[in-house]
Amino acid sequence: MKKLLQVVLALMLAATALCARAQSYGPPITLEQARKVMAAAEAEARKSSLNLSIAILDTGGHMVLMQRMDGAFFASAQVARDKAWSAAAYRRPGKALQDRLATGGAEIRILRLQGASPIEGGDPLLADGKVVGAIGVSGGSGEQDGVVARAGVAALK
Amino acid sequence: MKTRQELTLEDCEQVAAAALAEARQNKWIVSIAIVDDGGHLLHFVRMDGASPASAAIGVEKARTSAMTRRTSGMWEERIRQGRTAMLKMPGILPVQGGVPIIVEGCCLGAVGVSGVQSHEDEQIAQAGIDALLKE
Repeated sequence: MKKLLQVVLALMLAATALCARAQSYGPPITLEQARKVMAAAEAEARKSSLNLSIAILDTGGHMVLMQRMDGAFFASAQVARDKAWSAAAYRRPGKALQDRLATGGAEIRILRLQGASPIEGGDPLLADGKVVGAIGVSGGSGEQDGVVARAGVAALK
Repeated sequence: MKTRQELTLEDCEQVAAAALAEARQNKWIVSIAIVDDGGHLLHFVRMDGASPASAAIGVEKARTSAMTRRTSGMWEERIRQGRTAMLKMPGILPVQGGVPIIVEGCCLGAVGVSGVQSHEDEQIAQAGIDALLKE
């Protein structure tokens, strides 16, 4: 039993290491790449007639491209940036943090992570397996924001 | 009843495109921010090679301009003339490069540019606004 536990632990560690490698930072996103991501995300938003704010940040969490669609509430401009910052800084989707938070218990510590936005709608942007920045979307429901953000992510693949 | 005009995304894209063209023509690399009349971000673009700092500075110049309905350069000038107390004005970045968008006497927002010399930043912002207002 102990042996089994050790094997499982070793596997988990290896998996974590693998994830960490796959998710390391690459060169910061170019404006051309960002425009491609924005176009895909905006198209997805329009398909569902959503008025959203969409922000794209680089690997340092600094803005590269941002737009607020007509009719989006003004807080969405900041929330989109917050979600993207969280995804860039923690190199994981807001949804991942949201799900962990939802399990409760010790995981509510996520609320204390500096700048973390545990809300669906923020995703790291990957190019050649490296994080080149992040996208944040706000203005719809968390699920709607998430769909739009992932459409942006898919544009770089 | 008073009606209120708003900048649309299309307006913002027009301003940004003209500002980018002005920057490219001069081989300047900058960040360009457009905010609404409350100083909240509407549109932002950072050219390849523009510093991370320019992103934050561009937004702050635009916010300064929108909320005071004046160019951010006006604040810089007043402080230069000796009104140092203006440094303590809330939410003001007194550096040239932010220009309000005034339509029929109303401020609809502002453009803030950062990345090159301040008067050049302002030139880019103004070029963007001119493209929108000359219609």
